Amino acid sequence: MTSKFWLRALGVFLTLSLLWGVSEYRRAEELKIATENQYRRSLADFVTQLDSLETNLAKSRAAGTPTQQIYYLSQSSQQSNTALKDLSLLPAKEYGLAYVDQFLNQIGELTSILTQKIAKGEDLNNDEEQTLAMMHDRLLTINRDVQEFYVDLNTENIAWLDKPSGQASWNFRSPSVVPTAAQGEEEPNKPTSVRSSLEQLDASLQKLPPFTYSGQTDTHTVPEPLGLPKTTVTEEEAKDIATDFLKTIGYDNPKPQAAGTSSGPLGGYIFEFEGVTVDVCKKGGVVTLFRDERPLGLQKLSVEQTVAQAMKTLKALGWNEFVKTSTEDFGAYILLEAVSEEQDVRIYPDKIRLTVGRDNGQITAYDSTPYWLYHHDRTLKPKLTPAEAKKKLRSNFVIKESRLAVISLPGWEEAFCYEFRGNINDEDFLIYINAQDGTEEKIQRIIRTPRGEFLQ
Amino acid sequence: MLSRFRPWIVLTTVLIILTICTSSVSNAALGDRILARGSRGPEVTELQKRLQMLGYVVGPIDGIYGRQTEAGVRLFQKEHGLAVDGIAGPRTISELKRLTGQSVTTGGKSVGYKSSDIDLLARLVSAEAKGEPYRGQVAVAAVVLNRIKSSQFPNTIPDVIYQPGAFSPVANGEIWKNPVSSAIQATYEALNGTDPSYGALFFFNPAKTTNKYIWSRPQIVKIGNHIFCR
Repeated sequence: MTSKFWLRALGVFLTLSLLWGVSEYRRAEELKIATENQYRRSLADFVTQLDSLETNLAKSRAAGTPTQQIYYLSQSSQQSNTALKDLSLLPAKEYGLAYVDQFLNQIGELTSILTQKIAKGEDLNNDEEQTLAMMHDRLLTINRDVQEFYVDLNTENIAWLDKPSGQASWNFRSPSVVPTAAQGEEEPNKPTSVRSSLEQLDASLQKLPPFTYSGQTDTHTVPEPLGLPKTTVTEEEAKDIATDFLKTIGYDNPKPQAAGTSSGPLGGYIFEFEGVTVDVCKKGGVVTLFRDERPLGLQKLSVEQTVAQAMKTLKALGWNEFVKTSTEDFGAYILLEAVSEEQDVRIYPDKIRLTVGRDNGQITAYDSTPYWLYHHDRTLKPKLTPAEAKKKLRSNFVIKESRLAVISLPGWEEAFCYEFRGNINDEDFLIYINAQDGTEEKIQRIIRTPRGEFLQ
Repeated sequence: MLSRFRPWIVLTTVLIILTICTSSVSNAALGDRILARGSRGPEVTELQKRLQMLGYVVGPIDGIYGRQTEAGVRLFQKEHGLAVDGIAGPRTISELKRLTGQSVTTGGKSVGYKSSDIDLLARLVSAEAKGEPYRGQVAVAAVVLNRIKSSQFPNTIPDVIYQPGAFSPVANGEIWKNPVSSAIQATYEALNGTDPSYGALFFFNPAKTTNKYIWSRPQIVKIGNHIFCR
């Protein structure tokens, strides 16, 4: 009796687990199809975008009038960005493809720079024509290779990722969602997956020389800081600098201790003292970053009072010619940005950022890295008069404020401009007109966030 | 005499009661009354939602002001320089409403929260660096922003974060947890431009990583448990 009961129970149990297994298998299959569809869609889109990018780039080189040049170059710029996006959705090894990504990014950047240049009424110079020709040439090869393996994928049923060694074939989970590294480079002649095909392509391209073009936004930061004093300091000297800094901003008898170093262009010594860290740059011996992670107390100061205290601290630290450009109120603290003002010209790249506690007005963070990276001697003599610059604005733009300013452009270039704050279509904007040649360099929309004004 | 007025009195009373009831239901907005432990209703739901937006844990959004909601309110008060009493009074509510409001143009038109990127980045920071020093959290957010600037990585926050294999919290689903408040604040600071990682493109925990590639990158600085490298 009992044995029959157990036999039946086992039967029921087996049936149930079989049903469960079948349903799980079906779900896994559905998931596999869904994932694979996403991958296929991205790859199909990538192939289309790349092909159309190649065509548009060819057309941009044939176009004789600025309107057509601008049209095809701006199309190319958008398509390279879309192709890049598609590529980033494909299954990847740990850090994606280095060369193809970079190449597409560079086409996007160069075509966007050239679009703007032609829009300003300038012609492309020989170097630019040549770079464009080289990029197009290289793109032709890439496009052809990509199309070849796309055909292979559709005819030979290639997997997305190579199966990792040791994974038995009975494992019916989708190989495409297993995040393992493909070994494409080791078998250069026969890629066994889409991923290894892409990686092989990438590896073959890495041997080619890199492109250089003016206005390159590739590095996005100055290779060497422009504003650091020439001297270098020892750890002991840096410690004294940190101590002085802490005393100036309101700490009694601070005793910072060495807590490590940092490397790179702004590298130096890091000191700690009761939850406070101070970074002193080895070159120039300046404090680049400071942060106090103390818990903040009750709000006692208004935003205005806090700003006043912060500006006083900046003066005490020797930043005399600085003006506040923005504040954001986070409740217990404010975030404040101040920039230097030379001969009534606002130098936006020479910036210092602070966070300031609303409990006692002491600064809780200090970041002078933009100042040290970008500060240098600049010629600040405008060729245009304010009236000439105003003529470049729309006639219905109601000017509220204007001043001279140095602004940063994409990459680390700068422009010396007239800044006009004004209203149009019931909204405030900042419009920058180049003070040397009258080009409209930049437009910023002013948005009021819950924390303060924000430039978009 | 009285009996003639009775139907009127009854009708008026019913109307008054109805008016009070419906107005208290339809107009019950956050800030109309003080909310404390035991309060219930749509205002509590809104309070919970707004606290969650800023990274304060309130438990399920159920319209019941329970222990977890009180703890969330307390932490919000503590981190915003308000008197800590666990009661959502006028000051606490107005501060909460201010910080979770929508952005407007200078002409006053609402343009939405403008926070989708901030939210996603804060989730990553929270999953990767919760429990790390605050500047370590700013540094993790800065790494994502540095990748956007680099030509080797995609150009938007979602593209960088969701790049296959780039961040483990995406692979294991940790990124779907709500971010902690410090991660949100750190994200704002990084978006403002502060970069304690000094331009790093990668970071890793040396105790947990054996990946050769990442160990081979030039290291810049160590903050908390993370090494930042380029």
